[in-house]
Amino acid sequence: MEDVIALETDVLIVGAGAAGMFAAVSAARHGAQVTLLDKNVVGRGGATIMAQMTCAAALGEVETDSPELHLKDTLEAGRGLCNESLSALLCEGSPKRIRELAGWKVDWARQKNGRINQVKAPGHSRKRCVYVDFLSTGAAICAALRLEIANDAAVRTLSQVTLTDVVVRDGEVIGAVGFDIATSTPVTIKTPVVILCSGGMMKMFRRSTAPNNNAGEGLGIALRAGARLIDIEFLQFYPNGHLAPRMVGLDPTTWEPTRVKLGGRLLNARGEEFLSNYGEAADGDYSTTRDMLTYAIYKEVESGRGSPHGGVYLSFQHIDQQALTDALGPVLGIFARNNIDLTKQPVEVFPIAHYQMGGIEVDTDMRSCVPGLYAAGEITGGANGANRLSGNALPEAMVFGERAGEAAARYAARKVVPRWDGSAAAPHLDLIRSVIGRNGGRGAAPARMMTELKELMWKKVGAFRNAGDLADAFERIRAMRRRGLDDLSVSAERIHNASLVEWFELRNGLHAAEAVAIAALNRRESRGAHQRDDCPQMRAEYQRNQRIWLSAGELVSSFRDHE
Amino acid sequence: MRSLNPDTTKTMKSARLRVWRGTAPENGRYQEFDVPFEDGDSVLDALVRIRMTDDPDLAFQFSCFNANVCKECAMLINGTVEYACIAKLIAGTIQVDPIPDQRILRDLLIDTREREQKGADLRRQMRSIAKDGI
Repeated sequence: MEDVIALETDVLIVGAGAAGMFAAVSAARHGAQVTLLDKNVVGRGGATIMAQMTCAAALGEVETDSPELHLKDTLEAGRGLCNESLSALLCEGSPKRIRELAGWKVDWARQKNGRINQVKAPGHSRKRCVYVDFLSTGAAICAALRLEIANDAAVRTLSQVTLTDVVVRDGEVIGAVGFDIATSTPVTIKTPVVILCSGGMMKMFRRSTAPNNNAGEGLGIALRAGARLIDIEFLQFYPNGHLAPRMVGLDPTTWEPTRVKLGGRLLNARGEEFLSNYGEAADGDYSTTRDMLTYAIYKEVESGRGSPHGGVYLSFQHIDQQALTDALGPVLGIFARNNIDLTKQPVEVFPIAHYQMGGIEVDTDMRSCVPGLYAAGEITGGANGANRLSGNALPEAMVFGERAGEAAARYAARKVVPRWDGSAAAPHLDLIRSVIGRNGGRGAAPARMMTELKELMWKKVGAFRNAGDLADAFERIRAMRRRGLDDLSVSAERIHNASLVEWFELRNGLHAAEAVAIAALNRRESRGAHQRDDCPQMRAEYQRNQRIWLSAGELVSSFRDHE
Repeated sequence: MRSLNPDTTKTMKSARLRVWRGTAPENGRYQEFDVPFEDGDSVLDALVRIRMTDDPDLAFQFSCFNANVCKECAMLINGTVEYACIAKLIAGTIQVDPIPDQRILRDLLIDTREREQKGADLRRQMRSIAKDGI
């Protein structure tokens, strides 16, 4: 077996969802030789493929619309914290990417007149959201992008390769280090530029819609490379996540599009509709934004009016079988295989960790403050402020990915290729080698710590927070990072060593979890998706961005404006 | 309002998973695990539990976890190619093998990369033929 797999590339892209794949296509288009790697299978891992329906783009196909109106809605939802330049980039860029995907055979749902159909999603002032069908928009986008990448000779794809560190010398990126999961062989990649597109950290919650590979590793890697995070305390909780009965074969976010499409009723244990008590208009136009819905459901359960599994009911029992069949088609079969008959029983739903608003601080070229380190997609912060609008995640990934690819290719072309510096990479390689087989069976497996962390994040850093819980969580996470990690037992297996993968997920992801806890503790107000039971009001003095970075191995935070 | 009280009685059952272990067809063996489950749980749930409580080294892969979109968890379940994330557990013996006729990495994990590369090479070839003519 080779001791090290040594690669070289103009542009390295980490994570192959919509952001990474768009970045790859774009960097190649601008002349770069690209390497695109994913911890899972390229184009299948990541969150994009799980996106069900809505993708916002001011195409104006159904009614008059403009990127300016889209921007206005986005800024309003962001509760004063959006980076307006990034939000504007998202809104202006989205229509172009939607048309481009249509050219790549993404079969957008159409109106009778042949134009792309657009529907209204909560928080949008116009019919703006395009979709393929109500459950598989993300899968269709991924399929098209996979084909584009496969056809592009300038893009080399590497599945099942995970990044552990970006190698920095004299403050600049000179490459990256990771390992091949299939063989546990360390990998070095000499490159002047790395684009992190590895998604958010939402796997770190017990109840989560995130794919298994979104452990926030990119945030830890970026922090250690010297980058800053912005507004990382803002994490979105999806209001109607599936709770009970057990359901497999469908994403837990299935119920919100289904509710909107069919007119499902959210009920408390007494069978009463309750959203109007929390401000939803009585005409049932489903305009309540995600943060308000989450609040309403939490409060209803807290008041003792929850369902048996600790959520609320979502009922379609007022809708007849034929209407269900017409609207849901084959999806009814999936419900049936899970013994769910919507004409006979409601399901139980409860908020579920969904999306990371905050993230790596970037400019409109997707550059972090570290020369050569770029980021795109959910891993970045700023475009969505304190709360993301439904339908803004896919355009964020696509537009920012495309932008990052172009900017990185230009940077790589200008840059004199740095000499690979073995001494700068050596500690990172040594770490990988030293973790394989560490503590040989004496100590807990990384999976145990992962389970504990998920429980801790869910209980103490979830949708409703308070200073005591956050301080506890921060201390515990810090202890896990500083001491617990060293005591874990990692298998010596070489071929697909899951405990090795999880150890590095923790090593990098714990930085992300710790950053969220400290940022949430520092923000003593409630705003958008960050709700503090002990500080329930939004406060003017906190209408500021919070930045976090690493200094001498510890996280430092500041509400002061940078530069 | 019809039935607003779904049946919430939980009864733990037990499935016996007979899992193929090894790195090549000729040196494989079956290992059995008894896994507790609730009605509705999937074979993927059971594999994750085995990794957690019995053997952290059991090799299989998944990304989206029970949503059946990433399609990474395909395997042979009682002789049929299925996705582990939607195959339901039953109180009885379930035999799990890697997908046949693929290069096995280890246990239930096959090497998808060779296939990916071949597909990509083939598509590029076809494209250059289409562009340049034969």
